[in-house]
Amino acid sequence: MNMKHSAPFIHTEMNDSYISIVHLISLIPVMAVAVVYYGVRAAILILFCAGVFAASDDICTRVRDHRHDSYLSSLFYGSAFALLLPPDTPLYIALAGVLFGSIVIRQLSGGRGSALINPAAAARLFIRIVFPDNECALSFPGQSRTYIRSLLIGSRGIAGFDINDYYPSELITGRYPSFLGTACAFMMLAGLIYLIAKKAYKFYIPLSYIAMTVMLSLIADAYLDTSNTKMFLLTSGVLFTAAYLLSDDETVRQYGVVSIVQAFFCAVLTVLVSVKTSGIDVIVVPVVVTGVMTGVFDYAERVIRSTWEERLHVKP
Amino acid sequence: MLNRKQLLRFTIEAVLLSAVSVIVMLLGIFATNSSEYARVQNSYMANFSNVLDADSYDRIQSNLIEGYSGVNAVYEGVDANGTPVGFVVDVQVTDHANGQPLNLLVGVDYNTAQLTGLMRAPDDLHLSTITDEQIAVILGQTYGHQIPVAYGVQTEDQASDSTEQLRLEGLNDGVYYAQTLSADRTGYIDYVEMSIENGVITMVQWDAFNTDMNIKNRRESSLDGVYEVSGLNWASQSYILCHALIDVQNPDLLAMKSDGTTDIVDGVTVNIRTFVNLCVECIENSRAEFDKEMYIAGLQEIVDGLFEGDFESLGVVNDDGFIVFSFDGYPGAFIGPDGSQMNVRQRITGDMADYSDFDSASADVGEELTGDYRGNEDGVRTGDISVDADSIDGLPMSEIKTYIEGLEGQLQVTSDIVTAINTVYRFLKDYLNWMA
Repeated sequence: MNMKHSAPFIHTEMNDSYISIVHLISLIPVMAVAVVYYGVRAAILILFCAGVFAASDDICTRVRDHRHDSYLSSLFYGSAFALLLPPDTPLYIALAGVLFGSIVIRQLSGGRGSALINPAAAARLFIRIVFPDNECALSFPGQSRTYIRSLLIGSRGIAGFDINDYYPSELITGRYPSFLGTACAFMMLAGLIYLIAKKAYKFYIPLSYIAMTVMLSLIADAYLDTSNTKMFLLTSGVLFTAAYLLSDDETVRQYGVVSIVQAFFCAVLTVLVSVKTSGIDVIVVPVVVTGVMTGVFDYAERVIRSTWEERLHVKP
Repeated sequence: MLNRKQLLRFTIEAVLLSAVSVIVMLLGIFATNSSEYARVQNSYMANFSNVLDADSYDRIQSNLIEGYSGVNAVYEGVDANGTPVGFVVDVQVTDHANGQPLNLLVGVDYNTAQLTGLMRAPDDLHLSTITDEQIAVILGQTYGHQIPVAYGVQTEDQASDSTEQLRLEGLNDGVYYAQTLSADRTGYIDYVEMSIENGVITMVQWDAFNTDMNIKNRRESSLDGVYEVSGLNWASQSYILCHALIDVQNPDLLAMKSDGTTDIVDGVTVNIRTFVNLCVECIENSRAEFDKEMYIAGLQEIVDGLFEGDFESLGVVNDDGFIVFSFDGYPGAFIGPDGSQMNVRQRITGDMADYSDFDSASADVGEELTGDYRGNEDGVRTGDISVDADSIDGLPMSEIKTYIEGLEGQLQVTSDIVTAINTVYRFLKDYLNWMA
C-alpha cells in the first residue's frame, strides 16, 4: 500500500511567511528583556544583526538566483544570533558573526531551507572560537542603559560576579549577567508558549528536550555533583535552545519520531557539554552537532521504515 | 505571502506581546530590587570592607572611567546617612618583573585623602609575581597617610613632621560643629563639622541645609545642578576647600581676601568667609572642649527657651539630626549682658574666655614646608609654590604627600604598587575635581 501525502494545492495559512513571522514575534519577550536590562546598546545590536543578516541574504539571493526572497527568516536568524551575544559585544564582532552565518552557513549551502546547521547557532559558535575574549563582555543588567561605547570598543568585563550569590527571584527574572536573550526563563517560556499556541512548533519537541535534559542533569548531579539542576535550567540558556533553536524548521525536523529523537540527542549533548564546560557552548554546540547529524537521522529513519514495510509485506 | 488580515493580526499580537513583556519585566525589576540591592551590597561588603569601611557602596558609572588607563572600576563608599566616606578603586598595573597585570583595590578616605586599604582585587588572576606579603608591607607604610606616594625620597617620619609643624596649639580631640545662626537669602544654614585626632584636624565637612526641609542639602543640590555657582560645582569647591584646610591646619592660612574669596586654593571661587568663620568657631569649641553633641544640645536648649519648652512641636530637627532654625527674628537671642555678640558655646556656658589664639606650634612653618597653600590675611602669600623638576608617575614631587621607604632591595615591586596608588590619585584628581 502506497503512502498518501497531502496535496500541495490544499489551502492553509501555515505557509513559510506565517511560520517565519510567528518565530520572529516569539522573540519579542526576550528582546524586551534585553532592551529593558541593557538599554540602547542591546536594541542597536539586535537591529544591526537582524538588518545585516537580511541584507546579506537578500544580496546573495539576488546575485545567485536573480530573484528576491522573503527576508523574515533572515530577520529571525539575525535577531536570534544577537540575543546569544554578550551585551557589550562590539559591532565589528557582531558583523563577523552575521556574515559567517548568512554567507558561509546559509548561502553557500544553497540558500533558504538548504542549510544543515542553524545559522544563528553556527554564527555564535564562530564568534566563540574566533573572538574568545568577547565571552567576558558581560555586564550587570539594569546598569548603564544609555551606555553605547561598548559597541565600538567592547568591554573589559565585570569583576566579582558569582551566579551562586543570586537570589532565585533574580534568576527567574533574568537579573544576572548573561547573554542578551538567554537569561530570563520566564520570557523564554512565554515565547515558547506563543510558538506552540500559533501551531508553529510541535509541543512534544521542546517537551522531549527539556524532559531529557532535566532527567540527565539530575543523574549528572547525583553522580558528578557538577551543578544544581534548578540553577542549570534557569541559567544555562537551555530554554533558549528549546524555544528558539530547536524550533527552526529549516535545520531541525519538526514532525514525527525523528524530531523527538533529535530532541533527545540534543538533550544528551547539552548535558554532556555542561559537564565539561559552561557558557555559550552549552547552548550552541548541541544544536550545531544535532544539525550536522540531521542527515544521519533521516537515513536511519528511511532504513527503519523500509525494513518495517518489507516485514509487513512478507508477513501475509 | 501574508494577506492583509494576517498582517493586521500579527501586528496586534506583536504590539500586545511587546507591551505585556515590558510590563512584566518592569514588575520583575520592581519585585527583585531589594534582593538585588542586598546581594550587591553583600558582595561589595565582602570584597571592599577590608579596603574601606563603609555602610554601603555604590559603583560610579561614567564613560570617563572606561577610557581611563589603569582604572577598571570605581566605587563610592557611604555611611548610614548617605554621606560619602571614601572611594574604592579597582586599578590595574603592570608587574614589570614579568610584564603581567596586577589588579589591586585601593581605598581612599573621602575627607582626608588618606589611604584606607590596599589589597589584591578578588578578580586578580595571580599572574603577577608580586605577593600579598609585599602588598601588605606597602600598605603598612601608607595606611592612614595621604596620597599620592613616593618612595625612597624622604622618610615617613620627615613627612609626618610637616603635619607636626602645622599643628595648632590647644586643640582637644573630638568632633566639633558650628552652624550659622541665620539662614542666607536662599534659605540655607551653613554648617561645618570638624574632626580632630591627636591635636590635628583630620576631617572637615562644609555643607548647608535649607530651612525648607523639602529642599536637599546644598551639596546634593549642586550635584543635581539645582544650586549653581561660577566655576566648579559647589560640592567640589567645598570638598577642595576642606582639603586645603586639612593641609594647612589653620583657617588663617587660606588667605581669605577682604571680599571673602581666596586666590591660593585652585578651583575655589565661592565666598569662603562663612566657612572660615565656622572653622574658627569649631577650633575655639575644640579648645573649650565643647563638642558637637554639646553644641546641638545647646542649640536645642536655646530654641526651647525661645518657645517656652515647646521645642518638640516645632519640628525643626531634620533627618540628619541637625536643628534647622534661623534666628533672624530673634536678634536678642545671642546678645550678652554687656551687649556683645555671643556664639552658641558662649551662650550656653557663659564662658567668654578668648580661645582665638591661632599661633602654630612652629613659628617657621612658612619657611619649612613645601605646600600648595600658604598665605595670610587678604591673600598675601608668604612663600612660592615649590615644584621640583623630578616627578613620579607623572606627578610633580611637590604634589607628593607621603614618602615611604618601600620594600628593601625591591625597588621595582615598590614602584609597581606605588604606581597603583598614584593612578588612583590621578584619577580622582582628574575626574572628580579632587584635590588631596
